[in-house]
Amino acid sequence: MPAEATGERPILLLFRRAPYGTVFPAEGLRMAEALLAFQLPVKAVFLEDGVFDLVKGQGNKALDFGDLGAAFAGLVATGLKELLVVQEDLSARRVGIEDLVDAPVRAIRVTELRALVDEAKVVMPF
Amino acid sequence: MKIGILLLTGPYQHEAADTAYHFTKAALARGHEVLGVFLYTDGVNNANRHIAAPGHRNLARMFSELGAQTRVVACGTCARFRGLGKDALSPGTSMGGMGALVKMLQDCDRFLVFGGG
Repeated sequence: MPAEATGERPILLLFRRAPYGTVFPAEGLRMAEALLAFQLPVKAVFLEDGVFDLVKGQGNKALDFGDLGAAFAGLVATGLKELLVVQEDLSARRVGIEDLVDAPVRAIRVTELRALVDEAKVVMPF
Repeated sequence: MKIGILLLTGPYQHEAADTAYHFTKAALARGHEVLGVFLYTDGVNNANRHIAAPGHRNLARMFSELGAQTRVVACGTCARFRGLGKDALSPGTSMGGMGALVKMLQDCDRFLVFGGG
């Protein structure tokens, strides 16, 4: 049974960095994949420059960089319910929800993040 | 209290490795149970036995010292990406998979992350 169904407190992954500038979004993705593989309850929030992680059509074959956005979208197929993105940070960067990957993406207000942090057993920033 | 620790940055570039070390020492001294220190991403480089820092603190030795009191586990995939083999690990540290981290996450009361995003 998935851990989320048991009422276990979730592990909250915060993605704060843009793709490709650092290793952190990719390593956070790998962390999410591993935790989901072990059926731990995971929630993922993209905020600040991390909202760019979900922009569709990423990747650069010439540099051998894959499409991180597509990889994040793929988490939904491995047990993640949805990808949460902070609306204020989208707006500040003039990114629309329609610019994001085709996956269950839900925009939240930054004030909702507080409740997510409060309910989490562990918060991991990437 | 049962505490788990994740370290995301390597030696010397930032202070996070030192802070993680000192936090772990302090927690143990106060009688807390530290389930382990999991070295992830560049954090694995803190377990490199070839670190040489003449006249300065040697982070590899410091994490070796921690390894005598708790588990210090370097992520195997992260280590391979950085050319760090088992033979290069400092005494008292080990290499492990994400299962070791998951166990720590499940068993801890508190989990702290040092360095990173």
